[in-house]
Amino acid sequence: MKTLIIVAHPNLDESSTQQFLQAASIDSKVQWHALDNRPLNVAGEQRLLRQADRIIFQFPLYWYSAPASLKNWEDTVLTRAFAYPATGGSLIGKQLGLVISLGQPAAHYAAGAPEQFSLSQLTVPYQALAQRLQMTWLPSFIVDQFGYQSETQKMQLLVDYQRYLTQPSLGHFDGEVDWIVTKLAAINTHQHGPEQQKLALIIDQIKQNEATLEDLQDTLTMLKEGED
Amino acid sequence: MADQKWLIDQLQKLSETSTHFKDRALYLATIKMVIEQQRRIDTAEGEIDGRTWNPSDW
Repeated sequence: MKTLIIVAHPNLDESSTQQFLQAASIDSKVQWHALDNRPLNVAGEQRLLRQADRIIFQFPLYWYSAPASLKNWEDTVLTRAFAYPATGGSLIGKQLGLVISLGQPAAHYAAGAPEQFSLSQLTVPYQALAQRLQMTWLPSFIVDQFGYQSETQKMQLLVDYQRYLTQPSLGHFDGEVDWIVTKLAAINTHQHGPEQQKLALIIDQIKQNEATLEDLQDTLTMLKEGED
Repeated sequence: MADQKWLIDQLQKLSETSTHFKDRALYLATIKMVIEQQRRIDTAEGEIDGRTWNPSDW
């Protein structure tokens, strides 16, 4: 699965949030694509989109929307001939998600909270875009108050963001377990001796737990069927 | 349960000794996942017990 991150930020180099996310995104199956002031090469942008399975719009929330560069990109690149299902349909079946950074706590975006409206409400135009182009909409990934986060919170953010970019089945615990096991196995290819053996045992134990859970869930399914 | 404690202890040590930020982050996320894995195992075992001990079968 290939992921394309389209980053819209007027001062990318000065954003510690975006610098952190860029470092976290480094992966052979992830492409970081920052929009700048240069004219858009429409064919080139469309080629990038065609190659991706998961497309992410990543931006700081400016006046309850994305910076203007993303709207310009949408209006220029998503042509009728390319994107409309009836005439091009190049994005049908692909996933679309948002990574939104906030200066305020995410909890402020709710009915009755200081901002009154939820992020699900504010991002309706993107949801409509996904629906119109027959894409699969992903729950948005929110990064709030990055500058105030502790080191532990940043470590959790790093892994959650990497999973958002590369975990095939988002929102499924099995998918999270498989993703973590794959990452641990990748680390272990660089370990040696006792450290390598220890990590191999850890991976085995996690897989055993996974098998145990699967067996229990099968038993439960059988019990429930017997009760019907 | 002993396996679970061993697992978390080992991951905790790895997260403390690793010099790579990304690796440390992964070890800590793994601990969180393992705790959730055990919680789901406990819940499923509890539900199986509950459904198996059906008073109408006494």
